[in-house]
Amino acid sequence: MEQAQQAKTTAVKGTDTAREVRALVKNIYRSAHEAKANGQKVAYMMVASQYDEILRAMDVVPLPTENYAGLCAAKRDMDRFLLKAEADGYSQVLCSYARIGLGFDSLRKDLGHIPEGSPDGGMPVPDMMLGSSAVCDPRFKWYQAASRYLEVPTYGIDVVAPPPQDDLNAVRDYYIQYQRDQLKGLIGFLEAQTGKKMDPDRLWEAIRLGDKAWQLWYDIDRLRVAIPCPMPSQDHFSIMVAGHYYSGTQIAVDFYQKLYDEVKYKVDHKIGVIPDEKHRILYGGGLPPWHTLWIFNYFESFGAVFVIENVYRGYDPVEVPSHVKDPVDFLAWRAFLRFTRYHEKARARSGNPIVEKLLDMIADYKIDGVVFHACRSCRATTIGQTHMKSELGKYSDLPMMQLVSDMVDLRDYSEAQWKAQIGAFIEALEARGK
Amino acid sequence: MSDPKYYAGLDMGSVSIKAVIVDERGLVASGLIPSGGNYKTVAQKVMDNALTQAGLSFDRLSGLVITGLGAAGAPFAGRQVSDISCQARGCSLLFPSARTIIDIGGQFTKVAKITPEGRIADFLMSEKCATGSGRFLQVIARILSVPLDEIGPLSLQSEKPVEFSTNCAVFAESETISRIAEGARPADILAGVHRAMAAKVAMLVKRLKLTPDVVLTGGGGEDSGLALAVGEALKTEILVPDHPRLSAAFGAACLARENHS
Repeated sequence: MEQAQQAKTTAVKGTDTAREVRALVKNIYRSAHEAKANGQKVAYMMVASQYDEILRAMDVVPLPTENYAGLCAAKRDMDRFLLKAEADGYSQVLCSYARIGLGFDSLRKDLGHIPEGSPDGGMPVPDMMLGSSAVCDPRFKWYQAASRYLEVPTYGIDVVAPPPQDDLNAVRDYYIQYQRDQLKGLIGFLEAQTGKKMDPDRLWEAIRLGDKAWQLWYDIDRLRVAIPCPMPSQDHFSIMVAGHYYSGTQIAVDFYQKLYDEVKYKVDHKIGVIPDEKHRILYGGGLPPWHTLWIFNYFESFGAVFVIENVYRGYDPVEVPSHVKDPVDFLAWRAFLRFTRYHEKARARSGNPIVEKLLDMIADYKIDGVVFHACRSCRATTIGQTHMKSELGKYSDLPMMQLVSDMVDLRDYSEAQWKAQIGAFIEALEARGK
Repeated sequence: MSDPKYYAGLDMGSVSIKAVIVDERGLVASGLIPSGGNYKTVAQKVMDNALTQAGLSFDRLSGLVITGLGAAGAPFAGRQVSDISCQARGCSLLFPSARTIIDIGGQFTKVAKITPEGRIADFLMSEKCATGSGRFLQVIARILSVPLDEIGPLSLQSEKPVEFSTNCAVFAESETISRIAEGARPADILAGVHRAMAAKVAMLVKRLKLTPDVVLTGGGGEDSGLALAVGEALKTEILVPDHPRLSAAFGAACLARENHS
């Protein structure tokens, strides 16, 4: 059985609805090609940039370059893009998502067409590139670097959050004003590129759909507190596509409603991911190993199920004050509230919002152990991980383990090392249960 | 009075395969052969040697635990347990005061914190990097034409350890060649390598927070120069079993015995 798993990169899913995500992914790239053929504007974009609904309201077709990097890794077709970027001078320690994107753009430019056999038909030349400072710095610089290969305009939006020690009452107005200005700047850029004004009513409608989808996603995650767990992390890393790349559309709402119904049914009928759930694992952080997602099934072969995760997760629902009547103001408020969700808890205890979030997850989901994935080329999710693990250890005595590789660069992965570590981790979980 | 019972541990490592047989009282026999070539054949031979030494046939064994990177390829049916757990069990029996284990093997260095009962409390493995493993020493020993078992004593003669400007085994290899060309003594080069490795090991130990007593096992434990360097880097005494390469197999045999009882 183990050999069969190793022949592929992807994981066996726990839910039927998650298996439908592959079609959603294919549709992202097909839609971008169709949009280009129809004269509609297509934009390279970044996840979690808080501008998703604006793109939908302005009929700009999103083309998520990070997702494309993950897709290439899942298809084990990343080396030609990584090596091209490195041949162009980009360091191997630079974000491997960015290296795949830059390598793809470079190859496409050299060839004069999309590289032969690119996963899902490859990415067409966009009409614009929308960078973002949310999460990490390469997301801000990547598209500036891509301008070397693409003669299309680039716009970078700053997405900000106050440090946890700040008094939120003192800084709230400033941060929201700044975020509002950033979003308005982006809207002005998009209006210039598309030649049409943004319709506030359409933006409200996209926000309504976006919030509805994310609420359903949150509700699904709350169902996962059930024992046995009805939906594992490998499903999360698929179903996030609807929330992050279809936000502001009816497609995302319908998808999550269907998934909710399936997960609810499983909870009601006590149908778990595996028949005999022995250990409940928290994916504590780090981008997922897109090149080797079957590793989640490998854990399951020992009775260990990943029941919740702290990456690419939907934001917890937040309540924007009712006096906010402008949709752009709403987005700025929502971003602020999302990013400061755990600040007060952090100030009261650990000083670290992520530690607080993990501690909540450990309690709510009845976690037995925590696994982190340190990605060699992702500074944002890896630097500080050891410290966070150590901080978490002050409040929890659960077994924790840090696996090391990269989100897409297979050269940083060692199957023998991972299996040796996982074996010892499982034994630590079992010893704890004795 | 019933017949005595015997239990075996088989450690299929990347550099050598080890077998240990224990009875209710302790060690009965052991064997160790370099892993090269056919792992299954070597494992069979190691086990046969240990059984011959003990005057036993295979069917006299009441339990077998297999460990090590090559455990899946063992020619025997037995329970598989991670080498970290086996080291924890073996070291806690050899040194009841042990709370931290450093295992420097051919592929990886592993550091484990263990409970007084000999169970794993936390652990870390070195990165996918040869500098963190015994392979680094093998490479340098080959360049210097020094047999592996002479590395330790020779390095202890060092008066001026060479400082390596890199933490990468590949670059260290070329740096070693440069130092030889500059006239550096082999003892000083080896002491420099030990310091570089000890610094990496110390970093791993500090991430887990150093808890004495510290035991050094694996091939690295047989290198007295490395043991000294690790002790200096951690500023603590290092305990080394009499046969540091056998401690995981010993722990495996003891786990087989505990499992049976």
